[in-house]
Amino acid sequence: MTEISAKKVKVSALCELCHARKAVMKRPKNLQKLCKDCFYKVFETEIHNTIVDAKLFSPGDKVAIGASGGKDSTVLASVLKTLNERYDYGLILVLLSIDEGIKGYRDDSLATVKRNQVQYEMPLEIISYRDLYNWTMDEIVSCAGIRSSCTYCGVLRRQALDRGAAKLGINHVVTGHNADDMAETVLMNLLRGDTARLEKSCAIITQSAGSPIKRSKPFKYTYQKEIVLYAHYKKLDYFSTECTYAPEAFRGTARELLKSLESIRPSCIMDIIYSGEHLVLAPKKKKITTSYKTNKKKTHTENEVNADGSVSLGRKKQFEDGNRCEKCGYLSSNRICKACMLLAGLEMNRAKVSIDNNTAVDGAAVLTRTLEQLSF
Amino acid sequence: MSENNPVKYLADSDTECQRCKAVPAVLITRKEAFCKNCFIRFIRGKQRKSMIDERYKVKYGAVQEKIGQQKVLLALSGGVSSLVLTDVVASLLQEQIESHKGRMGFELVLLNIDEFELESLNKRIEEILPILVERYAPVNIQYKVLSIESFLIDRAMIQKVLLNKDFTAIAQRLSDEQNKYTVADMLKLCPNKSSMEDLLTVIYEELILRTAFIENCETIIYGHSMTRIANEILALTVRGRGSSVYKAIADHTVQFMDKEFTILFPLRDVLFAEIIAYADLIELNKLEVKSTIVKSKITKNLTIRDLTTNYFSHLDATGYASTASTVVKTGEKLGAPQFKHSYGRCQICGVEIYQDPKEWLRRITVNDAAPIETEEEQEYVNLYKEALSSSETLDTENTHPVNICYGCIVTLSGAKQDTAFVWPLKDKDTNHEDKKVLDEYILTDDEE
Repeated sequence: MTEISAKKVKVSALCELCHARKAVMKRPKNLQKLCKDCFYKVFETEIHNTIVDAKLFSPGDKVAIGASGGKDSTVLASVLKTLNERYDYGLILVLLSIDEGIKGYRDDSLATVKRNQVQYEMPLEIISYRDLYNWTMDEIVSCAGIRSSCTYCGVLRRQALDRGAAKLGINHVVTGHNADDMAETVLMNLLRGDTARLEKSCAIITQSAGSPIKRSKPFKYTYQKEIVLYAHYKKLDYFSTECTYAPEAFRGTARELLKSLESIRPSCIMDIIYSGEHLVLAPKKKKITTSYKTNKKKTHTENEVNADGSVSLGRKKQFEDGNRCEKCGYLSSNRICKACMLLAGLEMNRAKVSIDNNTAVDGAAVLTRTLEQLSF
Repeated sequence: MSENNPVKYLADSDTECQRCKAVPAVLITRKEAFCKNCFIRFIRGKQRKSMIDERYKVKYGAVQEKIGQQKVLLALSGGVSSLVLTDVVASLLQEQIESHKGRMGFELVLLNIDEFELESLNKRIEEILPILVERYAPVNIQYKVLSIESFLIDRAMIQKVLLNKDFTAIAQRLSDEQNKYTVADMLKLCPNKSSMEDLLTVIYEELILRTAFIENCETIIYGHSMTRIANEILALTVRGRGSSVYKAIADHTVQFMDKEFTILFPLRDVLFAEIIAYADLIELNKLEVKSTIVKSKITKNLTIRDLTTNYFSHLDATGYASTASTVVKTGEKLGAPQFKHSYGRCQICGVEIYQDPKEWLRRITVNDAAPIETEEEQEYVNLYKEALSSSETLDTENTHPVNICYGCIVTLSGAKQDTAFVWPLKDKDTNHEDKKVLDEYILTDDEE
């Protein structure tokens, strides 16, 4: 670099790892002062270590990258391509995008994914809510309100990704969930008392028995801030707007707490994940019920009516992994899967008559976009 | 008081107490209106339920012989929770004396450990203890005040501890002239406030156990409210000590010096706001020992526990008050982590290590440099090496590896190379029982 030769770098200003180049950044994870090359090296090696330790891939695997066009998935595509070539994973990488139908947000981010497709020379498949469910997120929000938008979107996207992968004949989807997301999930599960998820909150691979598709998170230990830095230095092309249907309020409080914790102790994200890996439920104790209570129960012969109007027979209630939805055939722990349940609810409230070219259903994103483009 | 405060005070209202239906209520909590006496009874009931065991009752004849006289140690910080617990337990003893002709189910010992920042307190604990004990006559309550300095029993255990870049830790014994550290000095060497807070917990815990051992107390009780326990769970998780959550917050037993101790949190079902209300009603709050240090408004100057405390009080104010109870219930469902290997115990804090923290960290915090490519870069490396050799390097002789847990690695990281960190290390292999044998039979380790 010319600036180095022009001006001697002080020894104290050198990179703490190579001591050969000028440090240009402070590493968010441990505040080490690093040069660009060393940062790339540690960033990529750590992800490689994570992949190797968890045995995520085997040669010849066809892997779909859940690509939103945001920084996490863009960096994921870039890093996986780099590592695949460097360490000879022998992977066939495909980009898989979901079009939720959020005007002014998703259409722009999909344009980014399309550019990524060219930049990384990967095939791209786009699955839309419109095709799959005959609903767009904008319509859902205008029908069900903004408060529950994440519930709908999350449930529907999970299924859409699986269906997209199945369509491509792929059984492994990687997502850009990073260490910050993991730590936030650990905290959320604790705060919400979600014991069913608590043990699994740090799992790098999630798969339900009977499902052919597994998901994994190669960025499990990667800091969000480092992803941003990597994208910045590598000049990656990504879309940087948050979804306009903001996250639910309670998750927001946990996110804020995590941010202030990180500011006093940068390692806290790793610390929480380490803790999370040690949170296990104690073996269940058998409840001893006194006889008068059981007698009381016997006289109770009322049956609970399920949400869909059916009545459960007195069979032993047992959670069967690999059970299928009676309506759509998708994996479900109940008779009807969550997506079909939500969609049925929506269908009941759908407007019977609609106006042609109605723009009122377009979400807030469109307005933001329009305002951004105004000039004086 | 904010609108969402879980306890709502009623000023001269017409609402009747829902329990006794005789007098006007003074407050509403858990959607129920209470008068003063019913509320006090309600809170005391929580403790009675928690200490329902036979051994805390007045015993006669064979039972008395079998169980023996029991002693309970109450950890009294002087804060409002521990004062309320003292009141609740002392009231139980008063009742026992009345109905059993002067007999008590157990003896109560109050233990206060001098705060580290002693000068910052608004009053001395020694002033309030006699007044507090006087309140409950004829119940005889003993009390003890311990200096934090008594944590150090054996100066020879103090060693200098250094954390290497690869997350291994090494320790170095100190010469007698170097070894002049007090506990306060050691705490001052902590890299930051949160680390100091972490280690203070280690000190308190050990001192309380030791006192229980010396005083022959079979039970130790803490005044933690539900809110405080929830806070503890969150803070432990954040400090990388998630593996000890299941033990730290449940009513449990501990082995210490080959004796078993029962640890109880009798106020675990009581919200912090209810504790404050209780203290207000019986005018205990005038005895409260408080820190006069005003907590900073700037996040950077706070500790992890400050942040989690703020978080919970913020949740209370925004109507998510049930979160504390959810967190506590979740914490109670946890068990011991299941890992194939055990990596022994931490030599600093004594917890069991389940997953090798060094290796875990090394995999995800790589410290390898990118290759050196140009001549110019090589020049810089040479320059650096020169500079390094001229400055004094730490003498690495006479060091030995130390086994430390993840939480302590986090606490240590950031300690300066030159000043380092100093701590009385526990022995690696010998557990307490062996230690006792050694203490008993070895006259001196000095062979000269």
